[in-house]
Amino acid sequence: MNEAVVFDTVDKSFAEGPEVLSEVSFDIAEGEFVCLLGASGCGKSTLLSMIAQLERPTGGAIEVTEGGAAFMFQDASLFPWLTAEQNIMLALRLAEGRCQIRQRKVRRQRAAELLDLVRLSEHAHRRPHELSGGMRQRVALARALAQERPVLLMDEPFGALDAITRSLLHEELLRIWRTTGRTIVFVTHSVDEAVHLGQRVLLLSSRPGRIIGEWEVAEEDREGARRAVLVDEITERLRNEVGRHGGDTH
Amino acid sequence: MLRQAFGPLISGLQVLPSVAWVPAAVIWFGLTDATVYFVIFMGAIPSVVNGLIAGVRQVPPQHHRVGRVLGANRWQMTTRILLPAILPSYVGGLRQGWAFSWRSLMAAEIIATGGSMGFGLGTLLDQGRALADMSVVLTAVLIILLVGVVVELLVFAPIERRLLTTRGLLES
Repeated sequence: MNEAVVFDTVDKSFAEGPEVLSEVSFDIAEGEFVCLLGASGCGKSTLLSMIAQLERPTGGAIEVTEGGAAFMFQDASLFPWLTAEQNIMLALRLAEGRCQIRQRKVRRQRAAELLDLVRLSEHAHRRPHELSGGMRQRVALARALAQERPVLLMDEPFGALDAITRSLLHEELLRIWRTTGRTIVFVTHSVDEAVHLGQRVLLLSSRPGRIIGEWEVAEEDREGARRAVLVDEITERLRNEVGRHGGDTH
Repeated sequence: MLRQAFGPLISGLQVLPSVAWVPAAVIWFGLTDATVYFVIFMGAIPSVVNGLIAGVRQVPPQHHRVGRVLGANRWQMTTRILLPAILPSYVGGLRQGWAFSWRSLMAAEIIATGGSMGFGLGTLLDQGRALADMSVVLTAVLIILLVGVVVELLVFAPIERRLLTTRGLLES
């Protein structure tokens, strides 16, 4: 299977600050759903920013499959002056090259399809402040999908939502992942969320961030006793890591 | 960077009463309408530019990040993201610019009269003073006030209300 993202002994530090990431190496296959788990401030978001080329590594090499990565932020980060549909249409417009500008009608049609995919067709003409937190995140997801990039990066996208909305969006996300076949890198500090969503869970240490644990999550590991065992095992490892640094997971 | 480069100059110009430009304008353009336009322009431009610079400074950094991940080039970042984002501040600057330029116009008309310059409210005010006719003076003051209120109510208030409402910053 081809690799969508390859990290080869990547280091990252900011000017005069301590090292944020140290010798991070991992591969993510095309179409894989990987959850990146770690305490707050361990460098998870920095790692995503480097995949999205918003930050450059100070050492090592990063390879991202042709077409690059779309990014979904913790807050929806929608443009407040645009409606849900217009936010998606803007993403479609910006994703087009100079030579392949689509007609507005075609963009509108594609935006309608994407809004339908995230079950928000009825709210196409609402502005972000007229939508609930969960709806805004669904628009943000549709906008990320609009870029038609093979990799989707998600930085704790459901962290600020209530448990019921989060659970609904988990199912939506899994459905969309199966439908679109995108490679997803999902950052979270919730072990439950990581085990529920990911095919693989990578645990990142703090100060500096390193990959210190990796678990394959089979379908049967997502339910019942096996799930509990896996969650306990990862939680224990995360707790040890947090204890070692006196940090927190919030 | 924009603020550092032009900030002190713009703030200085805003403090300078635009009437101070009248003598220079008369020397440059004579007693023509160009003098009035110049004084109005010098009265309005610092507020408009200040509004623009303040708007640029207040754009959330996240808008830049989103623009970058969406693949916006420099032109698209400016036209599709920055300009819409700064629009409320820009309109605020225009509103302040209008107030300054309206005041400047009245002052310019009082100070510079004659030549090919038209007859305006400031001229009427000055004529009332020369004739010691209080009713003319008060009528001119009320009309000047009325024009200010009407422009505010019919132009700037609806634009600002619409801009803020669509962004969720004001109850509709």
